[in-house]
Amino acid sequence: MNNPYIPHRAVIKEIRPETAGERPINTYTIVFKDEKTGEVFNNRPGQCAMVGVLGVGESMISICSSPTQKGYLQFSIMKMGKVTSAIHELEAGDEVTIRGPYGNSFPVDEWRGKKILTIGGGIGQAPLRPIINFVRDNRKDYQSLQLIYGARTSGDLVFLQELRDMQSGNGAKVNLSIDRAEDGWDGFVGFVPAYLMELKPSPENTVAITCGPPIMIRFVIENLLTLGFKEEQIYTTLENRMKCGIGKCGKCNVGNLYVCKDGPVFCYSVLKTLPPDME
Amino acid sequence: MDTAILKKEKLIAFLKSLNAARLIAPVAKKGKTSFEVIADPGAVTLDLNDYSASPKKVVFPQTETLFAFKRQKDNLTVAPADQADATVVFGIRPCDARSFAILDRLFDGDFKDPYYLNKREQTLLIGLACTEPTNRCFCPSLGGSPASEEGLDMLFTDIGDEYYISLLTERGKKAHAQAAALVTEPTTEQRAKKDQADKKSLAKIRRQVSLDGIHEKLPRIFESDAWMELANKCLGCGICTYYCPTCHCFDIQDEGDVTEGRRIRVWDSCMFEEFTRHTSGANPRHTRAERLRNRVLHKFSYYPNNLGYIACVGCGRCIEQCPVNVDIIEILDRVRELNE
Amino acid sequence: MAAERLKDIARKVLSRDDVKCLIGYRRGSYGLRVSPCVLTSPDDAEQLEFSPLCLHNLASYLTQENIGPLVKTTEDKRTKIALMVKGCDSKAINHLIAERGIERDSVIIIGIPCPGVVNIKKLEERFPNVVEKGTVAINGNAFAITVAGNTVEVPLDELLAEKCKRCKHPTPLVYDELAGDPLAGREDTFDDVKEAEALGLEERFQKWQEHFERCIRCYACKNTCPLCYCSDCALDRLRPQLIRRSVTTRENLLFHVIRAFHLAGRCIDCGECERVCPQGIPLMELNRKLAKEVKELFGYEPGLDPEAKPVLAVFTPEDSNEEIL
Repeated sequence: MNNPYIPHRAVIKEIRPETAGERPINTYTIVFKDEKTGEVFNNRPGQCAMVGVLGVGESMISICSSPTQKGYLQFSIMKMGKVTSAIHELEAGDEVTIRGPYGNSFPVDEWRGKKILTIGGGIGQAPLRPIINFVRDNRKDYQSLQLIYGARTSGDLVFLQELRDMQSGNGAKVNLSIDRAEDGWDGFVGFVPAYLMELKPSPENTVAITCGPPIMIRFVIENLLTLGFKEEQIYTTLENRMKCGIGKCGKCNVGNLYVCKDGPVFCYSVLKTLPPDME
Repeated sequence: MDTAILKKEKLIAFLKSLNAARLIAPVAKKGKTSFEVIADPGAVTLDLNDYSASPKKVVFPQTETLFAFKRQKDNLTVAPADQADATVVFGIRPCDARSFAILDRLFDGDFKDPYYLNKREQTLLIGLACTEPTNRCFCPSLGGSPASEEGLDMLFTDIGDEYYISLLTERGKKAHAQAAALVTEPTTEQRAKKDQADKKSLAKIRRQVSLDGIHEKLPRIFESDAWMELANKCLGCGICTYYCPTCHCFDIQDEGDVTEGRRIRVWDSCMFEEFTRHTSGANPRHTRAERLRNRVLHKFSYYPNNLGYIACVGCGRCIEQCPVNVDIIEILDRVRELNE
Repeated sequence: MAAERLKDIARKVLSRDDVKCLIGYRRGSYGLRVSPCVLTSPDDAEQLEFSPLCLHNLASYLTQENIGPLVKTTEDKRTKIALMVKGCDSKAINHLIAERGIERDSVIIIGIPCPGVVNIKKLEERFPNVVEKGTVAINGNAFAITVAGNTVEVPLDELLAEKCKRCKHPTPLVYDELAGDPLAGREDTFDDVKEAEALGLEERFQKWQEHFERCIRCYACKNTCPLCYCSDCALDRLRPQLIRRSVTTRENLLFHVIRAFHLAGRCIDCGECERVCPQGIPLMELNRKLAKEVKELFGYEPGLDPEAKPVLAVFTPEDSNEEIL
């Protein structure tokens, strides 16, 4: 019997700092020690993995690279608690452990031919990145790609260089915003839900995926509905405290569903039916 | 044969004949009866009316090592601890045996939990039908009975000077074959005694709860203020969950340091405030009302929806042990009466 | 104490417009059980009762999260909590006030002079398997236990809780209303502690190891204690981690000993920790040993005076400094 609690050994190949401050975010590029593990890992956009340090613990983190990015996995990790702080102490070449991939995924195959709109806030951009990269790597399969992304300050925007590069290309429309005006910022100033209403994207043949602080998600969804998006066109991800990652330990349930197994991806039409058990 | 009679004085010989690598049976421990590993079958105590903790710890211990690890420079060894010893549990109550059948479904599924399943596979369950249900028992309301056979490999029923043995699974029959010389075929009279014993025990059950409409109602009264009323005396401790034979929530922790240590799992309780608390401090269930509501819905709504069983066997331990009289029967009665 | 006097006081208190709720006791759901209850309307007062089955220290609910109906708006003046307390329970309120855990004017204390409560384990052994709701009263020198219309009398000292046999303060030391006539107290000479102290160190350790082997870390003791109310308990934290989550005799012992030290000079001897322990661990012995030490070293007993400064939170120049290296 395969033991789903035994993690795989992996090595940090590269660490890219994204944001600084008390709770810095780094993007880690990680490679399995055993190549064969990587070959069969087969993560899909939206899935997560338990990233851990033996002797400290594990933390469920969204895989922020697309399966089209072969040979490695990427995770954007914010330094918050015991495990993520231990990860932030590590350097390239150090070992971590990986268990997964867990959860369901964004139905990127069903979305072929559609216009993809991602709306992110803060570190919520991380679970959206696998969609964005998947679409970019399969560009002809999708009608268009638009990103709306905001954070408190320009220093809090993750993947900023990638996003700037995308802005100067022509494969996608990238709309960035920050909450308060800053010197040198000529983009939108204000909250993401407000920026969404400014831009007024059309709901026609469009799928909208949003991730970010719970309050932002709430207003974004309200605004999307106001703009004419149907419930089935709106997707988001939930997060909860997780330990086993496989639907047994009981920590992450919302109603009947376990976020680790039946999520983290939820279409709004399903999310609506869940009990208001998320604060 | 599917049934047998064992004279009571031959019980110890019967247990010895099973040749169990590990025998777990009720023994008296500081005035309470507890399921423990015994080397000598003679230590069995069958005065079971005061035993409190269920034997779910046999397949799901409170603290369990998942794996040990040791790092020496680049060499890392990870040693899983998922092997199990062949075990016989004798004297388990029918309600507790049913709970094994209920938990089996959770630990199986898409991801198989080898820690539970290996132990479960290696465990032979020999039940003892109840003759003296207590004031906490209400198993028939949950589809059980003092002589329920579900989850058991064998069931012993006390019919006076003998035990009536029902052989319920292939594994039970196989184990029983070793004791063939000790038993006899039941007579018609003895079969009648078994029947009477079952009826007599069932009639002694004095508490009940109706589950009519509960399953449909629970999700509809999710936002009722009643949950706060029902929970405001709750202490937020873990007594109900730790004594419950079907509760299965656990935490995973690492012990040691980065060079050597082990990863363990321990029982956790959804009634503790920090159970769902995120590292950021946010907590989807930071009040006792939310946690009690979740516990009741998990047992009577979510678990049956997902796995087909109500996660309660009516053993009543939560009622008996709760220091502030939180009573699941009272809660369900209230739910039934609530206007939506 | 007449039941009607209690209900009258309760009705009066619940009619006030500054009272959020009243925490009291009502008949339990079965057998010889009593349940804490939170009442919000004067009509509810009918449910209240007081008997030797009223074991709970309701003061512990003062520091639980939001008890009773939410205060809906800032104009809502219902901010006070009323509660029934026995003599021992009232000491918890005094000490909570002394250490600024609560404000005196946030509570309305209904004091109940208490002639004693039962040892529930002994009671349920004497009267096992009761389903019909029963009651217990005190008739002179005996408990009168009534179940299904049938009353049996048992001499008081056979079923009286141990703590009541040495209760110095049966009449609440702080109250707004007193629902009964004051009662005289008894003596406490720490005989139980002295008996335990007579054991040698080896024996003592052996004894406690056997006790803590049974602990299942349900935290009922910590959660029921009125003086254990840190929202971020040091013994739950992971950074730094003082106690491992694994349930072993060693970790259990550490948990209980550290908790006892955190309660030294603060535990008011209500005995609820021991009463709620489902595994029958005699926790009060630990707390009372430390209480005896505090009394001998500092001449201090918590819970008697809400103005008295908590002993381990202050110092005087006269304090012995032997322990400072």
